[in-house]
Amino acid sequence: MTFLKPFWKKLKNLAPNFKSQSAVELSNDLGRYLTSSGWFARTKSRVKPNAFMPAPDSQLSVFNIENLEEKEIKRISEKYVLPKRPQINIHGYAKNLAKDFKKAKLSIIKAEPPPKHINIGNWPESKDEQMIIAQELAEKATLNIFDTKISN
Amino acid sequence: MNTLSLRSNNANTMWNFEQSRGVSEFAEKISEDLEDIRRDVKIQNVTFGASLNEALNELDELALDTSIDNWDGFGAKKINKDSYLDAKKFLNNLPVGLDMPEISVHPDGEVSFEWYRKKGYILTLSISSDDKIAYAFRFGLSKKHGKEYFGDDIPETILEKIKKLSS
Repeated sequence: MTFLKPFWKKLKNLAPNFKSQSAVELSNDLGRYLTSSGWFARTKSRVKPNAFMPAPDSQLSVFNIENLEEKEIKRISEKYVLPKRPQINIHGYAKNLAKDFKKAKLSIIKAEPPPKHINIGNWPESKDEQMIIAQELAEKATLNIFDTKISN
Repeated sequence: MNTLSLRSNNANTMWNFEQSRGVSEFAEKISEDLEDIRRDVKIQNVTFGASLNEALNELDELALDTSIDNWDGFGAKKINKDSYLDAKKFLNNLPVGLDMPEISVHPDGEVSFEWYRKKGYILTLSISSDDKIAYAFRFGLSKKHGKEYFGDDIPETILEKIKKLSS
């Protein structure tokens, strides 16, 4: 099988994220931290589509929270999300399966550091198309609110 | 004996018609109904005015919260001024009787409106800075998305969707 080595090497150079992408199982739970109170409706236990709109760099930042306990999920947000902006509040997180993103034809790219960080990419350019995908993701998401919101 | 009086506008003439009890009751009923309608319209206007003010205040508060870049910690742009002004215009132009939206800001700085009835029944708008409104609409199995020009009036295609989701 050594004759395949150059082929794999070339393939890896062409698609550096190939290995990382395959490292996320489609059955894994992915968490999107909710840093705005406008991204969820607590009374209706609903995550709003706005929580899933991509950032200006066309990526949506999520974390792989598969098999993590609540306190560990909290710890990640305190350590890696909170320091990004001084006056931010982290209210909780939206949980989706990785396959929800895959079904929407989005890419799931491991983007460490920070550990367990994933970028959801391959968003359509058109805003209305992004919005319809965000609606689908929000519909499949489950809302998880922290007992006490995390803030600086 | 019940009497129904009619006054002519031109001749200032008064006609008195003797009415049966049934007709008079009917007239009274219409009068009561009209009063109810007037009261409802008044309440509706007052309620709508209050909810419009509430929505405008909410938009202003949101504008403050999102007035700096990276307001969400994920690299969002600060609220776009033109989008904010158009969002205000949109709220002020929303016809009486329709529900006010839930308001937020997208990571690209555009103001977003949302009408949500229940799972699978939702309209999201994004008010862009170039006089366009991007929309995503789900109504059961029906799914639509696109862009509409927003000049002086709210586009009819958008209003139709808001009506469908308003209670």
